Amino acid sequence: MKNFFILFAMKVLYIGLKLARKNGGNFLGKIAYDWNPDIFQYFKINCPVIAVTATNGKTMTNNAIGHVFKTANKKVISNIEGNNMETGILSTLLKHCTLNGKIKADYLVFEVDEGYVPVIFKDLRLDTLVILDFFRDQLDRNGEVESLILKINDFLKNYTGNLILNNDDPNVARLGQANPENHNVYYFSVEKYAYATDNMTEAGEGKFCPFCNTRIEYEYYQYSHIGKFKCPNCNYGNNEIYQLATNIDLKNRTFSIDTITYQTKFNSIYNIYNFVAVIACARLYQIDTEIIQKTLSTFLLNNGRLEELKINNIPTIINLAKNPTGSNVSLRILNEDEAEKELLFVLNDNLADGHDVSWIWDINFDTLNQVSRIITSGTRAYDMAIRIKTAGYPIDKIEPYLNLHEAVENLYQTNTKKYVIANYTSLQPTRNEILKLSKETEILGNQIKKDD
Amino acid sequence: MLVGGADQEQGILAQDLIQYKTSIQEAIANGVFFLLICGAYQLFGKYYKDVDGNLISGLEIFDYYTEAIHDRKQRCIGNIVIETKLNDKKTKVIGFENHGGQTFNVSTPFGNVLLGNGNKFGDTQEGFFMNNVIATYLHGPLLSKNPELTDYIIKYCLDRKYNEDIILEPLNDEFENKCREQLLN
Repeated sequence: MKNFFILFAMKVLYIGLKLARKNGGNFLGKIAYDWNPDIFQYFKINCPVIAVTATNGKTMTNNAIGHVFKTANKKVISNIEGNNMETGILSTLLKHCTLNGKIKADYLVFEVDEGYVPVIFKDLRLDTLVILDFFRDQLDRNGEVESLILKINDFLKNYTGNLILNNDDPNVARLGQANPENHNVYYFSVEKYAYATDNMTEAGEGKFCPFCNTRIEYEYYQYSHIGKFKCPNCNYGNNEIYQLATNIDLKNRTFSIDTITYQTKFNSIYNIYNFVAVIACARLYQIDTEIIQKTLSTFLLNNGRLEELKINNIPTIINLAKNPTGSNVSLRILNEDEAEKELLFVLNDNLADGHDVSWIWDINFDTLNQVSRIITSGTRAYDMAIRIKTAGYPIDKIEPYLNLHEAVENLYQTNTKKYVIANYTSLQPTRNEILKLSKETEILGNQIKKDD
Repeated sequence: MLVGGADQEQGILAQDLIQYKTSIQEAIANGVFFLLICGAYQLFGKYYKDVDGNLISGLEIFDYYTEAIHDRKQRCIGNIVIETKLNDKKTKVIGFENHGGQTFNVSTPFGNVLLGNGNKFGDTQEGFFMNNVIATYLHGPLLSKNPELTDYIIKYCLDRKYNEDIILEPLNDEFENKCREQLLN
């Protein structure tokens, strides 16, 4: 009875929020969870529940999976706004359930914060878990990567649902052995791409085998510690691959799986990984290839995640980067582009960013290609300027501005192509400043996709 | 210079390092400069007692020891400012601390805490300092944030190598100084 009242109260509150034109974010979930932390048990769900977790790529992958199902005319409920902790998931469920906790949908698809998988799915059924990668991220909030992986490993010991794992991340592939009784483990991998290297060129983890402590050997590194690896001692990493992406062509933004070619809107190696995970998931639910192809060929996020714009006719690429690997893959895209460009890097140190900004020293600024000027901004503009200076970039080409408006104004003093990298709380303010400056904004992906 | 690392890797490293204990002691006695940060600071002490109460032997080069707090979530985290003396000149050193370990029995600390925690929660002292050894929880990173400290270490090493009083050529520290001003205000 108690749960009925909680739901009733939340429904009334939700109507109130809607009338006030407020989305509510985690608000409903926060109240309900404080009221009864066991409330997840109350929901009656008859459709598959799919979750995506990772350090990087959760939102992109989650939203793409949702889009594939929607294109297949399925009803999908998802936390597309990115509220990915227990209160966020709960808010999404509360908004879409009936008073007796029933949820009517064909699929529930959630992105879940990597620390909250065991919390949320203690009481909520989970059918498919997709895990993309684990990198160092906000050590002051999350602690060491290893403790995070061990928590998920513990959760997986009793899990028998589908497990879709990136076989090219030694931090992820190991989770396939958490429960030897689970026969629903599916690995995905991506063949060597043009800018893959023989040695690790960016900060990474997972240098040692988690099973026998031997140094892991790599055939190639795609980026960070993502690549084809194997433990020379115990053969860890040598798994049967369920979906393997081949013919990676970032210039034309295509890749293949088996004999099927997929066209995408993105030109980064990490997005290929996200999309192979999407395809693996869609395949498990028997979605037609044509539908997957169609979805991926138009799918865009347009919220500052690898967003391509023209600002007063100046090509501009904005990307979120909240940790070293996120920044390094953004710089990869920049370096793989032969055009002359200028870079704006915005760094805040608010609570949601993590107060510790020392991670910027794991960003690889050593090999910048055709970058004629760098502007830094955000609350830690000077830390960023020092970091770039220390990498050997000419000091007279670095301009730090604590004021973001000033930074953006100065950035657009020239007509050179722009790359903009911003961390978590600085992304939307930066994007807004840039859009404000624009007399005419053309979204290069043609149509703006609304994630409804 | 030695720094901390991820838990698994630090465990492997600690086992490996112990075999070089005598060489390290000799190097310290010979005046080689050691800058030890976070995990490395702890490792040069007597022991590290982890969250589960397991005792991990240190190199036992210095008398201090470190014990983790039982609650994994409790860590000394945040911006930190300390005041130290380099060549008898008072200097503020800024950085960021992020450590669960609480270090006890430090005879000669690196500096007095002006902001932040230090060796333990709410401590007045931070790190360990002895002639040619600076051990500290400050990263941020330490050297780029603190040109005076960096110059001190560089000068120490050059003086030792060439056995004379070297004068360092000044560098452009504009960004560094602005960064410090921002944090110190």
